[in-house]
Amino acid sequence: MAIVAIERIRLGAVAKDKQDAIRQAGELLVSSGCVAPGYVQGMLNREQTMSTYLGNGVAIPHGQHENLGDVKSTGISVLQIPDGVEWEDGERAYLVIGIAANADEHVGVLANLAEVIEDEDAATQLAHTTDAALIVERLSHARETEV
Amino acid sequence: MAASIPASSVDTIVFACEAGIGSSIMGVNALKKKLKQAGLNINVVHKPVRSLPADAKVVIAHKGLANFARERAPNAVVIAFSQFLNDPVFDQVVQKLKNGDTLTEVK
Repeated sequence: MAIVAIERIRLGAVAKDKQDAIRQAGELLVSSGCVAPGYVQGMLNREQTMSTYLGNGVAIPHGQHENLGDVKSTGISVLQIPDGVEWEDGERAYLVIGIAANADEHVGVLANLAEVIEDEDAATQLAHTTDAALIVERLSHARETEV
Repeated sequence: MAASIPASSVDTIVFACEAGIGSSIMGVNALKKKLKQAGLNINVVHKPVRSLPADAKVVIAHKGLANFARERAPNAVVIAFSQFLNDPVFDQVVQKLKNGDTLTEVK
C-alpha cells in the first residue's frame, strides 16, 4: 500500500486549534486503516511533551512508543489548512502531516518532506494547492536521499 | 556525568528519540547533512532514549528527553535542543567539532 495516498489527504480543511487539527489528521489515518483509534490520543499526548512543529508551516504529529501497537500499516496523512492554525507561539501550521509507522518504510517520504520545508515556495504551494495529486507527487516522488 | 569531551575523542554521536517515528528522523537527517557539509566523518546513530548505550560519549536529545538521557547515559555529554530542524545548537556542535574545540553539556 502506498505510504502517501490520496484518500489520506484533505484539502481546504479548517481547524479551530492545534488539538482539532491533530484529531483530523489522526482520523484520516484511522479511517484509511493505518491505525487503531487509540493512536490519535497518543498523537495528542506526544504533542504535549514535545511539539512536532518543524518550521515553514509544517507540523508532523505522531504517536509515542507506547502507541506503536496501534499501528497497522505505515501511512502518512496530510491535512491542508489554507488559513493555518496556531501551533506554537507565533508559528502557524498550514500542512499537518500525521505519521503512522512501525518500521522505516517512510524515511524516504520524510526526506522529501525535509526538502519541501527547506523550500519556502514549495511549502507555500502545497499549503494552497487544490490538487491533492500534487501533494502525493511531491512527497512520494523518489529522490536521492543523502543519508 | 561528563561535563565535556574534546572534539578529537568524538567518533559517534547518539541521537536520542522517543518513538523514532517522525521528528527525530528529521533531526538525525539534518544533523548528518550538516556534518557531511562540514567534511566531518562522524557517525550519527539513532537510539530510543530508553535504550541508550550506557557507554555513549555524546548524546543529542530534545530538551523534553534530555534529563532521561542523562539518567540512561550518565557518562555522556548530553546536548539538548528544542527544534528538530535547524536548531542553532546543531550548528554550534558542528562548528566546535570542525574547530577541534571541546563539546560541553547544553541544558
